[in-house]
Amino acid sequence: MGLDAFIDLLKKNLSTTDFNRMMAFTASMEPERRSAMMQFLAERETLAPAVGSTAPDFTLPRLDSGDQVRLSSFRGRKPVALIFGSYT
Amino acid sequence: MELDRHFSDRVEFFVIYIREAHPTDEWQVESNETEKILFAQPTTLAARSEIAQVCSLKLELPIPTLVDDMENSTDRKYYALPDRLYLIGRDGRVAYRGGPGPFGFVAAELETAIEQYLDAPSIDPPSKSA
Repeated sequence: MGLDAFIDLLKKNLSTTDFNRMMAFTASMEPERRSAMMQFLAERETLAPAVGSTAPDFTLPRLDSGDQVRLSSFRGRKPVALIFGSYT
Repeated sequence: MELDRHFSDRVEFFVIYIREAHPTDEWQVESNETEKILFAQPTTLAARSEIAQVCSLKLELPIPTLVDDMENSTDRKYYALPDRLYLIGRDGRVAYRGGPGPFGFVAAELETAIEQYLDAPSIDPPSKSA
C-alpha cells in the first residue's frame, strides 16, 4: 500500500476530528521523523510476517503469573492465535 | 471473546499487550476521550503492565495476556501497532495475518482462518499430545 492510498484509507475511516488530529500530530514532528513514520505505516504491510513465513519467536511474561511464554514452545503441538493490541 | 471459548481446546490464544496506540501524550483520539480511556505512554514495564491489568479487568479478557518489553521487540517483529491478529500454525509458520488495526482487525476473519486451518489436512508435525 502506498502512502497516498494509506492516507486515503485513514481519511475514509477516521472521524474528521481524528483525521485532523492525526495530521496535526504528524505535522508537529520533525520532518525526518514524520517522513520515516509515514513511510513505516505505509510499508509495514510488506514488512509484517507474511502467511507461510516463519513466525518470529518471542518470549514474554504472562500478566497474571509472570511465567515466561515462548511462542516456539507450541511448535508441533498447537496452533497459536496472537491478538496484539493496547487499551488505548 | 467468543473465539477462545469455541476453539480453546484446539488453539492457544494470547493477547499481546503492546505500546499504547493512542496515549494522551501522543496521538489522542476522540473515542478514548469519550470513554475516559486516558493514559500517557508508559515508560516502564511496570507501568505498562499496570495499564494492561486495567484493560484486562475492564474488558474482562478471558485470554492470557503477555506484556511486550519496553523495546517493543515483539511489536516490531510483527508490525502489530496499533492492533493486529495472527494465527501461527503448528509448524511455526504464519497461517493468517490480519490487516493493521483498527480497520483490519476483524475477529471474524481470524475465526474463518482458524476453521480453515483446523479443517485442512494436516501437513504439520504431529501433535505431541496426540
